[in-house]
Amino acid sequence: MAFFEQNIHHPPKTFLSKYIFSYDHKVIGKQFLWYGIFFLLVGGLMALMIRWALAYPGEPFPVIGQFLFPTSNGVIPPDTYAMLFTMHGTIMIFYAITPILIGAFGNFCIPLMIGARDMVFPLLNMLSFHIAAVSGFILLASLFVPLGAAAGGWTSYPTLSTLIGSPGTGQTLWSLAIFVLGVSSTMGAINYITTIITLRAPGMGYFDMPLTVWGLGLTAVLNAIFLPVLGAGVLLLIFDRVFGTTFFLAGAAATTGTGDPVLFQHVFWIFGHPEVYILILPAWGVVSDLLSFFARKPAFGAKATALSMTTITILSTLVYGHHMFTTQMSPLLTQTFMTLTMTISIPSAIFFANWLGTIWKGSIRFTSPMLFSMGVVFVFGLGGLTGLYLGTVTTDLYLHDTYFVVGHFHYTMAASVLLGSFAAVYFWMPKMFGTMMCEFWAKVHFWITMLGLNGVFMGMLFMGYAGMHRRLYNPFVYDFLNKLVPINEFTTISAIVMGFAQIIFVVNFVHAVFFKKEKASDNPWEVGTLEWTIPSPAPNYNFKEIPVVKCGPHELGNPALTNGRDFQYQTEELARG
Amino acid sequence: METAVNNKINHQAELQGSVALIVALVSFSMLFATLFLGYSVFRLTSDMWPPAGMARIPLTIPTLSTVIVLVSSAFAWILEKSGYERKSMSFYFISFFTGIGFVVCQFYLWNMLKTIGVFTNSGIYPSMIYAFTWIHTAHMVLGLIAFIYLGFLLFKNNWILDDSIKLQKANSVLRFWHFLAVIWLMMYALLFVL
Amino acid sequence: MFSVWAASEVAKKEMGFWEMISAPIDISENGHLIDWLFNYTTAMNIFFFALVCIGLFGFSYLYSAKRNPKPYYTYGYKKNHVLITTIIGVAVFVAIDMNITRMSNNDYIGIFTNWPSEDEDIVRVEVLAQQWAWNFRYAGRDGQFNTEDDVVTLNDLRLPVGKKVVFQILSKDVIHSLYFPNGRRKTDAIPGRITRMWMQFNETGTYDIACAEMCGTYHYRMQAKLTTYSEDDYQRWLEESQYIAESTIDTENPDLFWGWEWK
Repeated sequence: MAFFEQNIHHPPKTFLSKYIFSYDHKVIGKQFLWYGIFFLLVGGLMALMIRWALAYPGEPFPVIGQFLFPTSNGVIPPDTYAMLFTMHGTIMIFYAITPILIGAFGNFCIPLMIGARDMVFPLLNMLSFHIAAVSGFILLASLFVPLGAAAGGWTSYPTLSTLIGSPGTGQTLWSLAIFVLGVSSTMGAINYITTIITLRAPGMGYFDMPLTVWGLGLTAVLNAIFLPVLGAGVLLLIFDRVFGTTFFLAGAAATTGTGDPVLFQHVFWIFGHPEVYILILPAWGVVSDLLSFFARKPAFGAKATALSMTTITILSTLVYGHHMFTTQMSPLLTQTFMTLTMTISIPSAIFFANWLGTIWKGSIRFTSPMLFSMGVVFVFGLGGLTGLYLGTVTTDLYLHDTYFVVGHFHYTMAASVLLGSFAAVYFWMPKMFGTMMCEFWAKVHFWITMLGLNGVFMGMLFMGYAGMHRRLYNPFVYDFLNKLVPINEFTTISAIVMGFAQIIFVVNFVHAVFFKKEKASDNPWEVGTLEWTIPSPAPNYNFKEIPVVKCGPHELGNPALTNGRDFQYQTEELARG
Repeated sequence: METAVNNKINHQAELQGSVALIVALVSFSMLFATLFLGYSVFRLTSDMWPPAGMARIPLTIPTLSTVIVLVSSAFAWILEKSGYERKSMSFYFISFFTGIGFVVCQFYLWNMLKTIGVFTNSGIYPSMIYAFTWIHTAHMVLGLIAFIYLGFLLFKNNWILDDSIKLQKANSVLRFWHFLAVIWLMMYALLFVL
Repeated sequence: MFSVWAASEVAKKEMGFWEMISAPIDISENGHLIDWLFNYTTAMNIFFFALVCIGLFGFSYLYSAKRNPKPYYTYGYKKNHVLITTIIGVAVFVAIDMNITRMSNNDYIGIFTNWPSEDEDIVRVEVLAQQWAWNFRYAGRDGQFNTEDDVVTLNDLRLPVGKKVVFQILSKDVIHSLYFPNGRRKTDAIPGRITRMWMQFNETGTYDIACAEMCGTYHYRMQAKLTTYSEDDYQRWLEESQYIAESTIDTENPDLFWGWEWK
């Protein structure tokens, strides 16, 4: 077992070294959390504008429309609309979900849950946040350049994203921001992997790690392997745009080129499909743990869940072609990608069975983190099953690039990941900031969000099946889409409801962080993983003495326990009756 | 007892250093692997390579670069084998300056390409050569910065790397350097010779 | 807000909910295969999702802390636990995945990419996508593309029913996607690379053609009309257009000859 005495940090003295240039993984985690929440609100506002344009084309956006779009009297113009959905996708995926789940909870949870005093490379960790901050700044700056921000969709397929389709600097800055963010995430991934391999507390084997750490670790592996692929793709795109190379230019678009725009799609999706799992794996890990914690029994088939997650990680690298069925790959490739895609449902079904097995015959406490975790099971069920239509080549020929796809990936990436992040925030709040968030408002937040998001994303699935394709400024120029006016309105109203529900969260969160007097106890949720053996909020050195792990992370409801608790800490010998 | 603890710490530092280095090198290789993938797609699907109207790049300068990078890598290897002693200081400097020589060579290569009329915007073949060499040279510059860091490390410690954390850092710098040499060899073989 | 809500309620009453969310009318020969596969998947999905819901809500009801204060202490590694988990995994794979993969493969290989042979009596159309319009080219009397007697239309595709139609699709600038909602199909139009699609339409009428791939600001306006005629009407239209084409062609203008040799 890899182990050595780690130094106790001295508490930082100045404001700068404490909050800005901190080496402490917990502070860096919090920085990422604020960063992510900020971008979540920006991206959410963009989503509302998109929805508004779809439901009420030609009507001014309420309240702030006049201020944002003065030239068109508050109505969102078509070019701005394209920028909005491009930036919405980019911001949500790279600047909201990634920082919150991987940046914030990866940094915060990994050392605490494996019993380490910090990450292996604190300096690298700090740089990783500051590089991400630079990237966020570049992205926001791209909104204000002449000709506006990138407008080629978050996938930014060439040749639309080359100078042919988007002559402004916005697209260049977009590519640069993504590249810089990739550097930051790769640095984070190196840190996470090394930390998990070398700094586990003595006695902690890989299967004694909480599943959250499994999820985050697998995510880091995917990040380290596949972000450079995207990095290479956007670098070549930058070369095409700035230095005049012709990688992605072809046909009449290129004066001399013999490049290939489809190459970018290959590169993008070699990264892009693992990226989907990069986003969802931490949420799966968190949910697997929380279901067990609040059902007060060990995680059902924890090893099988961990191995299923690993299997999915491996499979996710082999299936990217199902994003490109309409570009006419050879039937042989199509066949291969479809079959590989379908095998993903075996591990998925296994851990669904394990999730349900965990709550079966449990003693469920319906706290807010538990509600959000069960919400993830529900929405991910829908998201996963709707994926089947899109992995199947013939149905994909119809549904590709329709709102069905949008609904599907919002269920998997937006709904599941968002609910998973909320579960994590509510759950680790006492350990992060030392206070609990208000349970009542947390539950109100859950139910409104749940209703809202199902309204939005179910609406999208229906629209997609009715044939409405993506990224339309005004779908109602088509006769066959005219019947969809009411369902678009319904979806938009659901989105507004869901958007306003997040105000509850923000107020609750800010109140708990800055204004709440009442301190949380060391272990308010009564669970036994290592982070709950130390005071709340976690002191800056984490563990006074490096803990020695003697049992698994989910030892709850053991009938042999005699000391009046129904759980035991990982530092305690497993009770046997 | 103390030596046992020290051994453990040393072992730990080595482990951390090598795990981190492996992950980092995997990331870097994926970046280049993507480029090689793109290159082979174009190469295998086109009827003629280099495409019609394109001359082959004269091999003189790339070959020179190859020799330089091999020399540099070899001296770096000797430096590591010698255990970073003060008497191997010259190996460090030879390795470092040949590294700079390689970067200078790349600038000569780009100049030469311009004089023979191969510009970035004249099709996929020059695009490939330019993009590969740009990205690789950028990494070489990173490698040189790491080399300067290695110099600081060595001079600060009077050329005695007695604890394994420092030794690990020094070795990592050199392994990255060897990695870049290997990438260049692949580029030389695939882009210029074949 | 309320008035919007009320208006949408009214609209819903005019058209049933199911009618609103159903796919557009299928006018193609093979679209029903896609619909059938969709419905099969949906039925299976509803079954399995119902199982998940029964588990989720049923267990929530039965095993809440109030009703079941003592949890059952198990790791889930007992023989029957592992067995049930495996059965669920395999059942999903067999019932949904293996079936839809097989059927979809058969359809794709056997029909959608089973190109009509060259000597069959087929209609050939070349499609050139550009920002933001669709150009269609018919070979004309001589059967050769890119000659002076070609019939060329803009955003106006006219085809006969009951005949196989083969499209060759190319893009001038950015990637587009030729999308027939009523044919359940779409194929990307890519610069520098010709893609193919074949279809057969069975019903006459006027339908929409759209671009499904984001192609710039006016992506949403990249709309064309598909008119399907009976065989006789189609011949009549073709001859008329042929006459107009021949009498108005400007042979000096190279921009008009964007076609390519049929491949």
